[in-house]
Amino acid sequence: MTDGGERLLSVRNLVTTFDTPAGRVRAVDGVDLDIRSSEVVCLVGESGSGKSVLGLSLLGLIDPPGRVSSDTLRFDGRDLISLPESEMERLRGREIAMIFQEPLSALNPSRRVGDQIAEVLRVHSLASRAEAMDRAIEWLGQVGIEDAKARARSYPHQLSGGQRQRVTIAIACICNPKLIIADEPTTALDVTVQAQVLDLLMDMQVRLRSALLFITHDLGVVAEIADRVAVLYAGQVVEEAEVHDLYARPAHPYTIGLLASVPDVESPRRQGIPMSTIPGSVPNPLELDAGCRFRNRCGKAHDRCMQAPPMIDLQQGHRVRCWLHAG
Amino acid sequence: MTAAPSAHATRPRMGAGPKVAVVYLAIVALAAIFAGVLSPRDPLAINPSNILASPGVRNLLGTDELGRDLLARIIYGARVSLEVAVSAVVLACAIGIPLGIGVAFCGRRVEAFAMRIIDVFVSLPEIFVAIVILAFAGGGLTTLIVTIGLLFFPHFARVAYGMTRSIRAREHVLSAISLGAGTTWIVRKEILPNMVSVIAVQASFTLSFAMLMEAGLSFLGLGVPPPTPSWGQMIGGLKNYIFINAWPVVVPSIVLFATILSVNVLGDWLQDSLNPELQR
Repeated sequence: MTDGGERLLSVRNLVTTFDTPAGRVRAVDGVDLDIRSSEVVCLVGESGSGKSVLGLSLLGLIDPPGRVSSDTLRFDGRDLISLPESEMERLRGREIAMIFQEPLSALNPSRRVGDQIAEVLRVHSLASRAEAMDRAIEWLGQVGIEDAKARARSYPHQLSGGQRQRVTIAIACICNPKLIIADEPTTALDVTVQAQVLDLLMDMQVRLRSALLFITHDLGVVAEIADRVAVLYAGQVVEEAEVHDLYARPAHPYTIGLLASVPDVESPRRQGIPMSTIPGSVPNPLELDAGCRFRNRCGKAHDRCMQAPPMIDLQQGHRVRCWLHAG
Repeated sequence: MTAAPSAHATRPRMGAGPKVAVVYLAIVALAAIFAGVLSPRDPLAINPSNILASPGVRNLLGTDELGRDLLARIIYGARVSLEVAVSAVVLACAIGIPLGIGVAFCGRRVEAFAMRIIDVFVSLPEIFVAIVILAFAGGGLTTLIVTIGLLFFPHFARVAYGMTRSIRAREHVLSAISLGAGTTWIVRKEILPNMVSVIAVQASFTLSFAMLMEAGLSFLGLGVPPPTPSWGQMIGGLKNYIFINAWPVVVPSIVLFATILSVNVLGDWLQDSLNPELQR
């Protein structure tokens, strides 16, 4: 599913800023991103890289004092920037759905899960009350919850973490959206459950032929599911490539560092060599300048890194924002 | 770790106190609704030859200064007490809750302005304001209800406002928006259900405040005009004869006290049991 498929989502120069008392924070700073239909794109970055904000920005879910601007934000032939809020409401949940990191807080604590699944159909007037409930129960079964009819009457706190995330997956999938944005959907779960939920999500993605924007910091997961990967650092995409390309030929020092810090059972760690890490931390978003944002953690930093690094096309579909590859 | 999930919500057991309170309030409510059927005598019939009687066989709870049957008057008085208190609380909710929610959705300027005005209302000494209003407007059921309702709506507005603000910031609201829910839907399905428990507790305490206020105003002669009986008015009238026979004033006082206590006990129980997150 790597090639082909028309362009579903097209983003150019997306900027999300927050005005804080300390100054303006550019949480997402000039992101370009394309997602083709049925494609799985992973957005990788560490905490504070702006990956969650990017996901919310796409859906127009940034509340003031946050502001989103972009040169292009097209989804399925429509321009989301100029789309009125009422049209956005019709689009959300129906064509673009979102899955959040922490299912317990993403579900309404005082309503039964069956109602909450059925509700998506009701919001969009896609089914009558009884019909919506039938389909909600059917979907509970499809996401692997046993005894769906009884479970539909449970409240979120009566389910386990994995079951809750299954419920949010059912909520996201029930309208058969063209794009699912999943914001670290497995991070809050037990390791044993993570794989099951991930399998379910990928299964749904294949069955519904939805595109999936998977936001994560877990490179192990990325290798398993992604068609394409975009690496986000301090609000900017620093590298974007097909998944095989990225793992085989990482070009940005940050990506190289990230890949090196994935623990590998076969590596000679047991012989006393410490795990590889990237020194330092993400720069304070209030103190960013035009230069490369990774330069103070980069072993190959150079004088020209003080200037904004160009985005360079290495080959078909592999871009990197780094001076090392210029000229 | 999560407890073993069960298909049904486990509500906390009702203790003896709340049970007694429920039974007692049920009796009071039935008395109020079916006063005409249950009352042993006419609450207005006077009997000059049997005044200020102690509880006995002829008049189960005794008689007042005009020889009227106290049981009958207490039964009819329950009607006034409950009618005024319940209607006032309903009125206060009907104004306060939509106002509080609305203000929370209105942006910072409106919020600051409206909530300061509400603060002014909340800080008014209620009984004093009520006395002034009723002194000018005159007593009567409707005036009582409207006055008490207006005095208590700011409390509901404040609670609704605060709850709306905090619920809106929760992720399940963001999640609902991300699924295409509009503002009306958010209010109905995400905010109101999560606020019901807090509102119910507020309502139960306001109910006892409203009852006390009605009793207090009637005690002062500002509530329902005679001869319609109300508990406060009975206490106010009979207190003058406390040294002749204390029974007639003690009986309605106990009834009023027990009613307020029951409502409060029930309010406490509601507070503990309605919160779905405490039901684990």
